[in-house]
Formats: sequence, C-alpha cells, structure tokens
Amino acid sequence: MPEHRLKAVLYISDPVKAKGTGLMPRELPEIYQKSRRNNAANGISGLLSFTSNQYIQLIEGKVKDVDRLFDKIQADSRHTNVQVLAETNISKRYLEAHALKLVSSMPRYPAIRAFIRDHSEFVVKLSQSQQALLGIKRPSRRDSYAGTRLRLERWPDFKRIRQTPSVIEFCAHLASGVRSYDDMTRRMTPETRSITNRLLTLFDEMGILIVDTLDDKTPLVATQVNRDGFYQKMKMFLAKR
Amino acid sequence: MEYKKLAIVGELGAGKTQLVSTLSEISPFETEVESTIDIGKQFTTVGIDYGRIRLDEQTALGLYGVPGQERYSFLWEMVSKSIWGLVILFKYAEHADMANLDHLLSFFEPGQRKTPCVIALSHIENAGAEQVEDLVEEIQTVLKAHQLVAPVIEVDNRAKDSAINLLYTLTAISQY
Ligand SMILES: Nc1nc2c(ncn2[C@@H]2O[C@H](COP(=O)(O)OP(=O)(O)OP(=O)(O)O)[C@@H](O)[C@H]2O)c(=O)[nH]1
Ligand SMILES: Cc1cc2nc3c(=O)[nH]c(=O)nc-3n(C[C@H](O)[C@H](O)[C@H](O)COP(=O)(O)O)c2cc1C
Ligand SMILES: [Mg+2]
Repeated sequence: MPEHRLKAVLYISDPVKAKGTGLMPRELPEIYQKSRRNNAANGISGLLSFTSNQYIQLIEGKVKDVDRLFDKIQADSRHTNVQVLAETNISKRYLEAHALKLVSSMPRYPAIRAFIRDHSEFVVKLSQSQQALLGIKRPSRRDSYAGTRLRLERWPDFKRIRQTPSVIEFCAHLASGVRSYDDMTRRMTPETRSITNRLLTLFDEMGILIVDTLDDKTPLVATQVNRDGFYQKMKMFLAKR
Repeated sequence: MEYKKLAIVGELGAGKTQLVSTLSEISPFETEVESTIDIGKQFTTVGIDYGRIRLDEQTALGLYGVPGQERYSFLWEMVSKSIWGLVILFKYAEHADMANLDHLLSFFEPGQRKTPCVIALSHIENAGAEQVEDLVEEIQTVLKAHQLVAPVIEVDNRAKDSAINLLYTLTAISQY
C-alpha cells in the first residue's frame, strides 16, 4: 500500500536572526507550539532542537505527509540554509506518539541514535561539526573512567536521582569545569570511589557526562575553590537546619 | 557589615512572596530584622518582596522577590548589585516563557559573572512526568544557548526543607 509507506527527513538550518535582547531565536516558541499541534493533527512525529545556533529537526510520517510538510518548512522564511542530512524511507517510526518534542540535545535521545545506526550511510558526508551536533563521535559508556577528563554538560534530572547533599556537591564540582578523574579520586576511600563510579555511570547513561581521554587537547580548567567567609557562614547556617 | 543579595525572580504567582517568607521564617534572628512588609495583593506585582537571613552579627543575606516580566526590568537593576545568587522561579504551565528566560539570563548573565543560579519549578505536583520533562527541555534549550550549566529543580516554596535545599544548592555552586 504505497500510501502507508513511511519516510524520514533529518535536516539542519540557520534561524533568521530576529533582533531581540537574548540569544534565542524569537520565533522558536511560536514555531514549536504551532508545530506540536499541527503534527498531532497530521500524523507527523518529530524532534526539534536548537543547539550551537542551528536548528536540527527529524520529521517522520507517511511519505506524502512528510513531503508536504517539508515543502512548507523549506519555504519558511524564519530560517535559511536548510541542509538535508538524510532523507530516507523507513520501515518503522523511530519516535513515539509525540507530535513534536523539543530537545535540548539530540544525542541524548535514543530515537536519534537508532535512526543514525540504521541509516549510517549518510554519516560519512557530514562535517565534523554536524557529527558533533548529532553526537556521532561521542564515546560510548565505559567500564572505567581512569585516565579521562570529565564534565557535566547539564545537571541531572532530579526525578531520576535523589537530590542528596553529596549528589549536589558532586554535580556542582563536575558542572563547574573539566575534571581529571584520576585527580578527583586519588584520595578517595574505596567506598567513596565506588559511589563516584556509580554516579558517573548513571550520568553517562543520562547522556549528560562529557568524557574525554587525557590525550585530548582540551585544557583542564583550573577552577579555584572559593570558600570565603560568606561561604563558611552559609554552611554554618545550613548545618543548623 | 557584609551584605549580599539573593534575587528570586519569577512570573506572576510563581511563589516569590511565599519563598521569601518561608526563608525569612527559618532565620533564627527574624524578630531582630525588619519584618517582611505585608503588602496588599494589588501591590505584589509592582513591588519587591523583602526578607533577610542574618548569618551572624556582621553578615546577612538579603532576599529579594522580584517580578520576572520584562516590563519590570528596572527592578532587576537594584538587586543585581552585590548579588550572591539567582533563583529563577517557574510556575508549572504547559510551556515555559522561553523568550523571557532568555531575556533574564541576558540581563543577569549568571554564567559570565559566576553568579550561582538555580531554576526552580513550583506547582508541579499535579503535572505528569512527561509534561514536566517537556517543560524542562524548553528550559534546558535556553540554558544551553547561554552556555549555562545550572540545575533545574522542583521546589515547594511553602516547605522549609525545600527552601533550604535550594539554598544548599546555591551554596554548593558558590564554591566554584
Ligand atoms: N502548590 C504550591 N503553591 C505555592 C507554591 N508557592 C506558592 N504557592 C501558592 O501560590 C500562590 C501565589 O504565591 P505567591 O508567593 O503570592 O506568588 P508571587 O510570585 O509572589 O506572586 P505575585 O506577587 O502576584 O507575582 C499562593 O497562594 C501561594 O500559597 C508552591 O511551591 N507550590
Ligand atoms: C525550524 C522549523 C521547524 C518547523 N517544524 C514544523 C513541524 O514540525 N510541523 C509543522 O507543522 N510546521 C513546522 N514548521 C513551520 C512550517 O514551516 C509552516 O510554517 C507551518 O507548517 C505552516 O502551518 P499552517 O499551514 O498550519 O499555517 C517549522 C518551521 C521551522 C522554521
Ligand atoms: Mg508576590
């Protein structure tokens, strides 16, 4: 049944700068909210992300629906330089019922990883920065973090991990700069180290941990700890609660 | 006298007044400080909530609840001097006002100025997990555009332990 054939389009584009006070494209909320309703009505599922000043979108659905939508999108004056990364027939949808999901990072979504895995032929044509946007170079989860540099790309979702004082301290530490795993754990007891490893694995699974190997040239940011008098007094105040 | 400010910025009804009063209540010296001015509801949107946590004889953290709407940005000026921390309060809704968050972050620049910053979501007890997740992604999209790595946490402004947790998080971030 040709009308039941499915296809997907993955593209990137540049927002047309509507001069505002901030760093976001002014039209994004409008595009997102309208598209969410449209797609639900039109049987389209999609992921949209605004990262590194570019839009990335994956849309999927019946061939004629996707074609019709993508024609509109290409003609939309709120963005320019639309580059198709992949346009392909698919045998199943990668996204769930979501009409349109706005995501802060594409690589965190299993659907996009599965799509790339199944259609890897387009990957070779991508530039380094395009690959980075899609998280293609991202090293997969590892058994040991020895010899790595670590940083949190975002704080964890606290629905998935309890916000205990030590988790908060650890996140504050890892979110503030690139840390060497070896330096960080050198003076830890075996128990603390094993808790640390478990947290890192969890953050890795959540897709929020950036792991570089030490031979990468990323400089370690020497973050000074600033435990001034005010900090000490806040700690004392909090300890009494 | 060492005096720093905690700015609590949020939209209408997000819980600024509630959070300032919960935190002030926790302070053991509350009776010694000017008590929170009890302003009638019609003034809440144009005024600043004020409270204070006295840490010792010489040191205090001032609490300032400030409306987050862009038209009140003249009020942001006064709290941005000697600011110690920034709490951006959101009341649960289907969509976050991304443009406003964008504007707030451009004004306060917590990343560049190293101001500890927490995004706190209130009134989410009746929202579904997926709805909250979508809202968090909208917020994270804006944080990412500002290259700001800041926690997005749930808060109940009426609960002391929740308010304390917020302060704890800001304090932890303030070390770096
Ligand atoms: N469920 C819930 N209710 C809250 C929370 N914080 C505040 N409230 C309630 O929400 C209402 C509005 O709270 P306010 O503290 O007045 O909000 P505001 O930000 O000061 O509002 P404006 O001054 O009008 O801008 C009050 O009825 C509070 O009791 C919260 O975290 N959870
Ligand atoms: C980056 C970007 C992504 C878009 N994604 C969608 C989408 O997923 N669904 C949609 O209906 N419109 C999307 N649009 C908007 C379309 O270009 C077009 O304005 C819209 O479909 C017109 O809807 P209407 O025919 O109901 O007025 C997008 C626009 C841009 C700039
Ligand atoms: Mg108020």
